[in-house]
Amino acid sequence: MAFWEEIFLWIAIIAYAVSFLLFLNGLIFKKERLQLFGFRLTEAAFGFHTAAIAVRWYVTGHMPAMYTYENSLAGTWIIILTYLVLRRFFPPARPFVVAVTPLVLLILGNGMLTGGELRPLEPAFRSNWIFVHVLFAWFSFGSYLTAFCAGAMYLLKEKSSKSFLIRLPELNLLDELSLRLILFGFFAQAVMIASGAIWAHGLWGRYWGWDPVETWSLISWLVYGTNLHLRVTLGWTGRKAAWMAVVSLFGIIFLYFGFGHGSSVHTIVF
Amino acid sequence: MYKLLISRRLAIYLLTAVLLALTASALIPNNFTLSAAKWLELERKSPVLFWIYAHLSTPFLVRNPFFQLISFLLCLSTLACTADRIVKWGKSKCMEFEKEKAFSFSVTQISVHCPDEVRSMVENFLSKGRWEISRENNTDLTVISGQKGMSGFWGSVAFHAGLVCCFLAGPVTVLTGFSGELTATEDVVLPLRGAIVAHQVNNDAKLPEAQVQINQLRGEYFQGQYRYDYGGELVLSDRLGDHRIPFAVNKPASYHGYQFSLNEYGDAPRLVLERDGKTLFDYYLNLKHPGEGDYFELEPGVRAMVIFFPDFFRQGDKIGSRSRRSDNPVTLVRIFRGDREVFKGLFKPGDEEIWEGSRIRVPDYRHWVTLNVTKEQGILLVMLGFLLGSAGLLVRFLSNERRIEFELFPMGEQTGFKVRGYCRYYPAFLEKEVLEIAQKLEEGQVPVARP
Repeated sequence: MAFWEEIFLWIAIIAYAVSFLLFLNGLIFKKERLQLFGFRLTEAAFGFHTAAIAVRWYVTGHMPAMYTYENSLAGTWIIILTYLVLRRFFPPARPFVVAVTPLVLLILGNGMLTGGELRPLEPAFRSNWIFVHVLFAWFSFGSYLTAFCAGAMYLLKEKSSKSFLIRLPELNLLDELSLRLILFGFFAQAVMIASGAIWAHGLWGRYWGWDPVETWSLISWLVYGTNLHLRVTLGWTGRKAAWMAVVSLFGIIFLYFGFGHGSSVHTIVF
Repeated sequence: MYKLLISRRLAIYLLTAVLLALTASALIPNNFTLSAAKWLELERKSPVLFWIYAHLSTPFLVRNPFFQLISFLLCLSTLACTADRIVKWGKSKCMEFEKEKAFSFSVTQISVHCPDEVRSMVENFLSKGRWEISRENNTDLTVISGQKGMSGFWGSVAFHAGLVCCFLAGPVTVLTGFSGELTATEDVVLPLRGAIVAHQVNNDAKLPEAQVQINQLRGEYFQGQYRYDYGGELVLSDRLGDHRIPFAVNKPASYHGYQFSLNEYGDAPRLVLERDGKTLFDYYLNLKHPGEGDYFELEPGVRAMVIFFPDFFRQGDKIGSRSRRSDNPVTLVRIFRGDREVFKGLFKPGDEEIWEGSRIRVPDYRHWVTLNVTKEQGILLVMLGFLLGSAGLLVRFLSNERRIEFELFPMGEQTGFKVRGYCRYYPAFLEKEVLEIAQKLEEGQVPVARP
């Protein structure tokens, strides 16, 4: 890791952790100011996170998209970006930060454990498709993760009469947000899979090979495809749809940890 | 049969069946997730378990005729559903908004403005927002309605058409394509047909007649450790002459529609064994296991284990390579008779040693590569499917299928109005939009048009 990258990243991590605590406090004890301050802190943390990425990009000379650490660095940035964009268009989605930041901290922690050696882009990654493939992979993960948060909040709010849960966004808004996020995530994942197939054709000479990572990405895409069909065609809404949003994320988790699931051409790229 | 095929319920069942089969198969280890050695060991030690792995794990399941039948039916169902939707649209040339399937929300308000003014505000709002407008006039009631977001239908059609293209890519690739491997040492001329190991039986007959040679191989490492660049030149000689085609990782060479993608790269020291003036063994050895060493049979019962150190170092008893750059190349040769080591020697290029009256030489070294040789005509369908599918999904995501109805009824000099919105998927958005429209109309302003 570069010196300034490490400094900026640690500031971002601490700020994310504090913003989570402030938000949780604000939500439980009905303190609007704490929530507002927590949100501002999330924005500041995002700024430092961006700076850490910029430093790494400058030092290595390439987009951080290689191996676990760089993927978690860029991926969590996109997850927070998804949250901030969502919050911009749907202000009631602000409390999502309570669910998003712990997951972001977990992913970042996992990435940092693997080490962040500075190295140039390996030949297999040197393709213009890397931007499309990696960016859309994380957009889909970010959308699905936020949809999971919306689904979980729906279930919590519907079941519980505790006062702080009542302050979560309205049920129909949560339902709608989760559908929109899943639809966007599904689109982003389609672009990710297709661009990956075209890239693989140039790199390995075949566009599909049933490699574990490819298989799990198809499975998770089909899971969300089924999810959308159940909602759009069969009209599933409310609790059933919320459960679907929560359960579907497990396909993605398999995909994420598929990188460590035995050997794969995605781990030994050349 | 057609009715069954256009049933969306059937499509969901088929999709679920494919999904469940794939998920279950993905949990079973296969020849990707297990190393080649473990795969062979499993075959030897647990035949039953091996049978399960070799039939039900994903790479094998997808070749199962039953799985292929379900996938084919899913493709057929997708095609039939999409065709049916287009036919229905073609009959009426417009999209019917199905109110009964939609969420609805309404507000009733009174405006101080006269009915004509309110109607003009409503029409202004609808035309600015590019709604498809329709009107009904009764003596006491005027109903103006608008609907939009029907582009989502075409988005969905495009997406499913894209899916069908991707489905078709599979059989097209299998039936018309080629896949094989070419392993070659630098500067060695080989016949193309004989050198390529086809993945399907008799598939190499399709290959053009030519001689193949790999030249100018390069492997560059950043700080001597990290892979940076690999490439070379493919020379193909046919009756039209020599074709020199450069290749690298991610930049495959192309010849007669065949793609040559660099897949493996390694070192190949030349080992020569001579006895009584006769050459018993003389080969460039393509080393595939740089860490643990590769074994080669020199003569019956005698094996050589060879390790190549590109940047050799020795510290006490330890030997190894400082980096992956060929700065100080040394080859370790160990000879075994049965399991007993009978010779061990380190050779710089050009070195030689005598063992039991035989001369062992390592005159030089080269590099070797494995190229994946493929012809995948299905890729064009995948690209087409990608374009159609992603464009369709984007349109579907951006569209919001909804209808809004205004009922205007005079109340003396004032106007009573009811705004009712219908929306298929986004109730919260609709509720907000209807409330905003009603408020603006009550205030006597033209509501703001939303996309």
